[in-house]
Amino acid sequence: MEMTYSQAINAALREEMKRDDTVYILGEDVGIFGGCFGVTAGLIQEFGPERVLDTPISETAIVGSAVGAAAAGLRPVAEIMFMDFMTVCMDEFFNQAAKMRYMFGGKVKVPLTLRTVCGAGLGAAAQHSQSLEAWFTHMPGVKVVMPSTPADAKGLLVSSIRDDNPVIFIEHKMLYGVTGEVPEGEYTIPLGKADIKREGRDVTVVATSLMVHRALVAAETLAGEGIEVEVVDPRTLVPFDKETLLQSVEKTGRLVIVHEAVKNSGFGAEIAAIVAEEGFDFLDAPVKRVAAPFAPVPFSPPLEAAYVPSEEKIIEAIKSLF
Amino acid sequence: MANIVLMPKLGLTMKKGRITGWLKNEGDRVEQGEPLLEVMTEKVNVRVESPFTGVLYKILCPAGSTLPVSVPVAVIADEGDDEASLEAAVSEALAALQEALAGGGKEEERKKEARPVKPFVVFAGERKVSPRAARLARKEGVDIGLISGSGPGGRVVEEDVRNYLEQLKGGQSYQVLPIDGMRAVIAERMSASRKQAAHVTIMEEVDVTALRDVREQLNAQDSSGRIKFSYTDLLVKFTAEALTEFPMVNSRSSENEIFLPGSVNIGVAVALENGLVVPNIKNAHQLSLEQISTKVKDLATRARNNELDPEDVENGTFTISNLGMFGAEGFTPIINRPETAILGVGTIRTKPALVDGRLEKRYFMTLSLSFDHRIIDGSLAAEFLSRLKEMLEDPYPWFGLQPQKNEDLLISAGGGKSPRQIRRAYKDGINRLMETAPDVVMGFSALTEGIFFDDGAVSRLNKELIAVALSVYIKCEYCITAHIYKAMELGATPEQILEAANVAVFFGGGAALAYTATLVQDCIEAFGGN
Amino acid sequence: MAPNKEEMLDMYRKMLLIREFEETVANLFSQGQIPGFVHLYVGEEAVAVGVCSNLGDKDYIASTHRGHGHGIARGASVEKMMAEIFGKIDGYCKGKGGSMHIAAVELGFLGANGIVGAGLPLAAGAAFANKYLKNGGVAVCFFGDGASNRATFHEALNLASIWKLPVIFVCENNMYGISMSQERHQNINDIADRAVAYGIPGVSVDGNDVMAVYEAAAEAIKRARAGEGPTLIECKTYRFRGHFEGDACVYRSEEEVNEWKKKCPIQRFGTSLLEMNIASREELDAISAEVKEQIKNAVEFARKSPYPDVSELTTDVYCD
Ligand SMILES: Cc1ncc(C[n+]2csc(CCOP(=O)(O)OP(=O)(O)O)c2C)c(N)n1
Ligand SMILES: [Mg+2]
Repeated sequence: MEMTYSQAINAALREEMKRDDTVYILGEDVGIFGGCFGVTAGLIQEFGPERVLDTPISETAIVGSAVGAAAAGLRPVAEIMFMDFMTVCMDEFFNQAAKMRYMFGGKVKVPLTLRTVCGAGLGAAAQHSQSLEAWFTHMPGVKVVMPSTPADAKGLLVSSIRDDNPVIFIEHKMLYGVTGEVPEGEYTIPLGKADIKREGRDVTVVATSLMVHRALVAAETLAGEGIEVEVVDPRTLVPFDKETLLQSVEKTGRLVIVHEAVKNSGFGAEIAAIVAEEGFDFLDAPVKRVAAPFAPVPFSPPLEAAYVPSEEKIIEAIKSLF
Repeated sequence: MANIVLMPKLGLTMKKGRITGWLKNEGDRVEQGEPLLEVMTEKVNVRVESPFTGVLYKILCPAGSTLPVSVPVAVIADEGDDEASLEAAVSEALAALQEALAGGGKEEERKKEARPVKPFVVFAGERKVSPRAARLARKEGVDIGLISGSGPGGRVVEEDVRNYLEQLKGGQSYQVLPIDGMRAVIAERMSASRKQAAHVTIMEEVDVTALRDVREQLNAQDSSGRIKFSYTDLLVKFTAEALTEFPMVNSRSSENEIFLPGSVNIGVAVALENGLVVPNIKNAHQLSLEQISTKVKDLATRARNNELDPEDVENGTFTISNLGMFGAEGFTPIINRPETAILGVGTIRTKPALVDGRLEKRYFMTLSLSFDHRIIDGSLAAEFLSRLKEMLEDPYPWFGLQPQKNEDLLISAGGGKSPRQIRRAYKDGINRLMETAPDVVMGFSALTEGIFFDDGAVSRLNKELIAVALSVYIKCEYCITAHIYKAMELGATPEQILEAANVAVFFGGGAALAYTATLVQDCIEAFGGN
Repeated sequence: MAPNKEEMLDMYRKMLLIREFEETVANLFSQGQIPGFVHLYVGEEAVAVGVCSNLGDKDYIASTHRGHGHGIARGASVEKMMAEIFGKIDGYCKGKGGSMHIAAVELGFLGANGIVGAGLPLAAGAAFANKYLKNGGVAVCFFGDGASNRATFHEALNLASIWKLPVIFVCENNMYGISMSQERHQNINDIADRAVAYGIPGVSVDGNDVMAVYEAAAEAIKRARAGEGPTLIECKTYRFRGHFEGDACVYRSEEEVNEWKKKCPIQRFGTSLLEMNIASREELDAISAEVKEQIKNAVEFARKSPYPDVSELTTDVYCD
């Protein structure tokens, strides 16, 4: 069935709420307003204000209370309107949710799903456009999911909600309107399984979220020039599917990593390190990263456009390896 | 002034919306801020306020249309707008709307790119090796130091090792294409017309000024001065590259089969005291320029010393014969069978040419390609040769170099830039001519009533015209072009030039004129007259 | 010390300037000429103008995502503000910040803010600096009703209280935080009541009455300058437009909006200026015409200004 990314997420929420009545949603303006990006539209009408909770502007309490409720047997799906606001509830997520099970000697489960939105492209400037996924991959105890297509978004969200661990589910605001084929009926996609979005023999491009789409366009262009690009979408950063990555690099011998987050200490560094440690002998060329420069996200449209990795930059990086 | 209402952007992610209704009719008055239309976005139906005050003159997009944001949807008339300006605004808005809706096409155009250039390796010297290549070399037990790199910065990559292994195994990989169908018919007809290969030769004149510059720059790069790249080295490199794009020209053939070898092995004809031998450079397309240069020298030396091994002359796929070094300009080389094509290289000559509106001294070389018409069609051969020409004429990207500024290329007529220089050059020229052909000079001076020797009275234009006549007489293309250029710059008309050229006829120069008539005409056209 | 005629006309002019600025931005935004998000201040002009008309050189203000009005009230150039909103190099932040991050530190304007409630501790800090430097300056923080539920509100009020900081917390209670009405997001009517919890004065005023705001602010600033610590002022007001441009406002009724439009702070102030014989109709009309011209020029200025060069991308990240 053809669906937008946004509709796919909405469908996953609806199905899981129907299936399991311990699932509830909380966040700012998720009710009658339907969420800042319209993702939760219609849910309050269907499940009522007891299960779709509009909160005050209190991120600390949103995440903190969700952690408590999860420990006490519920499956909260909390929404933080923009990923940038994770900064104001880091304790609740990092010190509480992530570590609770470990600290308590494995005696508790925190089945919390935290949905949030990353990415530039709307001219939303420095505090509403960041891609901070790398922070969360540095948190033992948390799973990090970053879907790039409607089908992935639905299957992965269902798995995230059913997962007994805290999961941060990172959506991209420029993907909400993207449409794609979504399987009929209930299905899940396991966390920790990468997807090869395009096969190719010459170079592996690992891209996340919106960048998957840019990498695919670059691959199409390069196919016309005789370079066959394999595009690997990890889909989840934690757990990370090393096998698929290493197999692909073994086949192609070349690796380009594309993400929208700033390059310094971005998740690309982790991927490059994995290949350096475990796939060094596969490499026929140095690993390249295409990522944002080490600066906040600018507002001005030409600057913002130059900030986010473009198809051209991806093509340039790939060509530099031949 | 008429105002254009655009499809509004409602909400953060809205890309398009559907107009669900107009709240005003054409002809109605609207105030700024008053609801004008209703738009349905992904989420909600929104009443959109009019951004302008005026009369709704024209609705461009009726209710029901789904449109991207920011396209024109209506025109609102301002007070005092006349019918004509409103209609103009409407058609302009409609055009903008059409264009926005059509969209897309431009994107496609932008994507079309020129053929990519992957720079050649010049010095294999300090080599980098990829981990993957190192691993394969280790596994196969080969010395990586013997392998030249084709990766970025000359890095040895896996493919280089594989090619090297292939070479070691002597494994000639090739494809066999049957000579059947149309090819068989052509083959039969062609061989019937001539016993063996059906020879055809085509020629192209190539501007090698840039190649000369590149060669100078490359030679300057090697500070040891050990390496001097020859034109042959460069030609082998470029020809090998072009052959990878035209495998058929790189083929070998027998009576009824064409072999398409997997490698490019370029033979370089070496003249010996009592004959000719053609050793070839194996896998020339994979070697660095430095390796080619070394190999060419090595093969030539060994050929002269009669030390070639049989494999040095076996399995060639294409041959280059450079008679340019002996002064030949163009010729029709004979194919080195069973190869199917051969490139003849002529000598380099200078000629004046117009470059970006300036007269420049350029270097030209004639390339002659003989090919076996049974195997290679004329159009393919021509395409190959012009691709080679294209590469040779702009060699910079292949070496990551930039053109050097070279003022020496600029031509100033008469041998100098200042009037005094020009005058001195004329005098010198005339004096020299006086020694060799005094009657000609006397004739000219008679014709021009002695003005040649009268410095003060004659204008510079007249002097240039006389110089034109003189240069036609002595058949110097370079002088002809330069002086015509200069004369026209000084204001000479085409008629004056032709008249000056005709002067040469009086002095036994009839043959000269015939020889240069087209050149004179070309120059007149090129420099702006008709 | 009531303002004199000139000062009152200046307040009227500033309110109109904000209104014209915001309506122009709304228009340009809907025509796709302005990128990003814009949150407009239409209907709330009396708060910014009433407060800022009391401020001097050494004073700071911290603002919100709805910050254009605060900047204009503080005396920022409408040209540079408009250029910033267009993302042009001649904007206050070279086009790098945009609507949500306009700042003019040289005017003591510590910036609009994309993070709700972030301004409160910042203002407390600026007040601390003024106190530390003993320069007599104060700091004002504008924030919304929604922001009063953030932890930063509580932490900043408590800190300012125990340190007796010269800071004025001005809550713009426009009755909504996006779609959440005040009655759904908190169990009190007057946010000013929260002052009690921190042992500081809390006053609630009609935020659409510029003179009432002016007086309350004057009193609080006097206290602050005298070293008596912070005050919480709640201004009850209403935003006429959506939360951001493009908001369809499904969470409130058209009647409610129309009811509030009748209480337009600018009309009210204009009427009382006429009634009190402080200004004539002609004077007010002349101001209105000048303001329109000024905004037209600002748009012209913004349009003509070039976009920043791509090399600006990585400058200003650190001090050199
Ligand atoms: C920490 C944080 N949470 C959420 C948001 C998203 N957001 C932006 S404005 C807003 C509503 C603010 O309401 P209020 O404080 O009353 O100010 P108003 O918009 O009414 O002026 C929200 C939730 C944000 N910017 N920052
Ligand atoms: Mg509010």
